[in-house]
Parts: sequence; C-alpha cells; structure tokens
Amino acid sequence: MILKQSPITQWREAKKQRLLLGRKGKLVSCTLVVSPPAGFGDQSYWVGVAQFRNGEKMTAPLVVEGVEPVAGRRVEAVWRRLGEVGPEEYLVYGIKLKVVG
Amino acid sequence: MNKIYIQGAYQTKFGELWSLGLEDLLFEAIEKGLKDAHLKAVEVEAVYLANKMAGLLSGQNHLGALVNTYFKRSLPVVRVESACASGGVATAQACQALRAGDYETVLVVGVEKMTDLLVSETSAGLMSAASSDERAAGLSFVGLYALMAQSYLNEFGATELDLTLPAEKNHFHASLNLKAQFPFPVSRERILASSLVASPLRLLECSPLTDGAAAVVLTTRPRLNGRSLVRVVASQQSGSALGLVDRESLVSLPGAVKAAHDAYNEAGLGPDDLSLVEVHDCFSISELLALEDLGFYQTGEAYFGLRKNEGWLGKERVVNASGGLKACGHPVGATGVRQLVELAVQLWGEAGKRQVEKAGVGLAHNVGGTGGTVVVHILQKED
Repeated sequence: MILKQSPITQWREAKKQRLLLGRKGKLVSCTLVVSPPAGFGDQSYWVGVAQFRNGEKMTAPLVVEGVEPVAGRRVEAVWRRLGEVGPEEYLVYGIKLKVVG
Repeated sequence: MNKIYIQGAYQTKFGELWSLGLEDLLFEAIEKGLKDAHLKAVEVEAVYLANKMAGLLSGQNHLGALVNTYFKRSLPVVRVESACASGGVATAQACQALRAGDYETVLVVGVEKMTDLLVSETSAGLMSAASSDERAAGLSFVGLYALMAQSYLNEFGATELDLTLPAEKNHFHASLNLKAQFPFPVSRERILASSLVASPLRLLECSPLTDGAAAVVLTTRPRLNGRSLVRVVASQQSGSALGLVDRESLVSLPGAVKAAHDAYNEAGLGPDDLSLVEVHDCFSISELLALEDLGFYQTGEAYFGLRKNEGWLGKERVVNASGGLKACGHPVGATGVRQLVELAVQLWGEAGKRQVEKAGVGLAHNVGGTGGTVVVHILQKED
C-alpha cells in the first residue's frame, strides 16, 4: 500500500526539470536496470549518473539509440516520457540523458 | 559516564515467513530477548524500536503503541527510522540515554515484514530510502549500488568474479547458522552465472527480501548469568547527503569512514584489534567498500584480500560470520540489531559451528540507504 505520486507533485517537479533541458555533460557511471521497481514496467532500461560542465551531477534514465552507454561518453538532457501511465492515468514527462558518443 | 553492557540478545529465524505477521515477529523478539537476558518484562524501563517500512507496506505506524500492547503497560517507546540503519541508530539512541543515566535497563528491538507484497512493490518501498531524483529515474536499490559497483570495476581493475567473492564467503558462513535465510553454501561460479538484476550486479550478489526481528537488552547494571560481560565500548553515528550525486565519490561512504574513525577513537582500539566484524553487505560491492571504509584495506584494494580468502572463518578478523545481509537475510529495520546479536553471541562463546576462535572484540557497521546514515558499534568482552 504505497502512497503514489499525484498530479500536483508531477506539476511541481516538471517546473524544475524544464530548467535542465539541453544541458551537456559526461557519464560518470551507468547501469542496466533489468528488474524495475513498481510503476516502471517490465522492460530493461539504462540509468546513469552524469556530470555537467558546471560540475553538478545528476541521476537520470538514459536514452540509448545506437551509442553504447559507457562511463566517459557525452550526454545531453532531453525531454521524454518517464515511467508507466500512473494510477490517475496522467502521463509524466521529464529529463532523460541521451548518450551522444 | 555509565558503562553499557549487553544483558541479552535474540534473533528470530530470518526468511520468507508467511505465517508470521509484523506483530508476531516483534512479540517473539521481545519475549525471547527478555528471556535470554533473564529479565522480567517489568524490569524494562524503555524500548527503542527500529523499523523502516511498516507504514508503507503494512499500513501500520505508531509502533510504540504496539510495543505497549505487548507489555500491557505504558512504557516510553521511541520508534527510529533511518532506512537500513534504523537498528544501529536505535541502539545509539539507547546508549545515549543509558550513558546519561536516564535509564538503567532498556530493550532495543528491530523488526521488518517485507514478503507480503509483490517484489516490485517492496522494491519501490525500499526506494523511500533514496532521493526523489533517484526514484524518478526508475532506480531500484540494486541499481544504486550497481552504479557504485560499475565505478569500482572501472577505477580499480576489479573483475565481475571479484564481486562474487563476498557473497560466496557469506553463504559458507550462513551454512553454519540455523537462523539464516539461506543456510547453504553457494559457489562463485553459480553466483557469476545468476541473472543480472542491474548491471553489473547479479541476483546472487544481492541481499534478499526478508522477514525477521532481533532484540538486545542493554544495561548499566549487568548481571552475570554464567556469561562473560560484553561491553559496548563505542557507539558512533555519521552519514552523508541523501543522493549519490551529492557526494564526492561513488566508491566510498564518507559516513562510514567518519563513524569508524570516531568509534576507534572512543574505544581506544584499531582495525587490528578486531576478532570479528559484521558489515552491511546489502550487495556484494557494499562489503568491499565497507572493508576499505573501515580501514582494513586502502581504497580499491579490498578485492585483493578477498582473493586470498581473508575474512573467512578460521582466518583473522572474520567478516560476517553470521552470513551477513546476503545470506543471513536483511529485514531492514532488524539488521542493525541482528548484527549486535551476532557479536554478543560470538563474544559469549555461544556461536556453535560458526564460533570465531578467541573472540574478544567485535565491530558492527550498519548503513542506511547508500550511506546517508552510518552507525558503527564496537563490543568488547571483559574477562
């Protein structure tokens, strides 16, 4: 019986996430999550820690399209759908890091 | 300042205990803990209760009142939540009250019920110990430690086989422990062949979901019941920022380094004085990092020690004689207390087949989340 996120929390989060769009950085570490927690479906996906040019670090899911995620590769913050459709049937969007080689 | 002693210690069987609920586990640990201490319920002055997720998974908070249900009277009860370090922090709080002379005899009990729901639901619940960004990124706890493990492999030349070594050792130790969740040996080959959960961590490198409870009775007026006196000579707590990204390094827990340093100072002891240690091996990588953070090896070198079978029963400074979190099990709120139960049992010479020879000093290292909280206790036998 885990209390789930609400449209209000997602709305508040999205305002912060938008500010990160377009940021560039490098992967510090990454992992392929084979066994997702509840709410993230049942397919594997990559998650990484990246460091931006200003020194700040971020944890985010990765967008992997043809470039293998490996520490040291460059990443760029893009806007994507996050997770599965929630219990109130609203879609959640936010930052993922695209691996650009 | 008052000296603090362990008067009694008890842990339930750890495992998927479907016939026992949260209350059953809690009450068993209290009853048998008091019995081990040769104490009547009325002699307990206060209770420190460690639990992480009863509210999330069982819908039950207000656990202090549940303890009063057992005692059939109203005691001061403090519920402590610090993720997987709940047990260690509850003990540290109890020690503070005893040192100050607020009480003479208290009970510390940890309990967790984790196997009633789907694995994915419990996994999501565990993520309440991580940061909101880590949850939003779809990470599980395995994923968080996998990020640390991947960095360790990249930076220090360790291999995937090296990640199996702590788990192999801990399963061997657990095969000698009837209370363990997995009391059987598992080879490094079998661990390496198990499926990936979050790369590079494999299923058999991850501690399980476990039900269980553990209790210790702490007192400043010990009674000898045919046992040596076991004294708490250090109790130190530290931590770090909640999220992995807010720390300097992915391969060291600054809270563990600090708590260990402070504990060694408090006790006037060092790593070479330890007969045995119980470290927080929620994942096999965690044990490697712990051994380095506790000062047994330089950063990045613990795996060389494991390759030489250091830490196995029969060697010096045995690591996780109980089987650790991996093989004894990890009922989150109970673990920190269970570590102290193991140390006490070993120092009393009552560990049977897994007895550490000439056990004189033991250290317990209990971590919350990815290191947001770390508690280190040192226990010493007084002859």
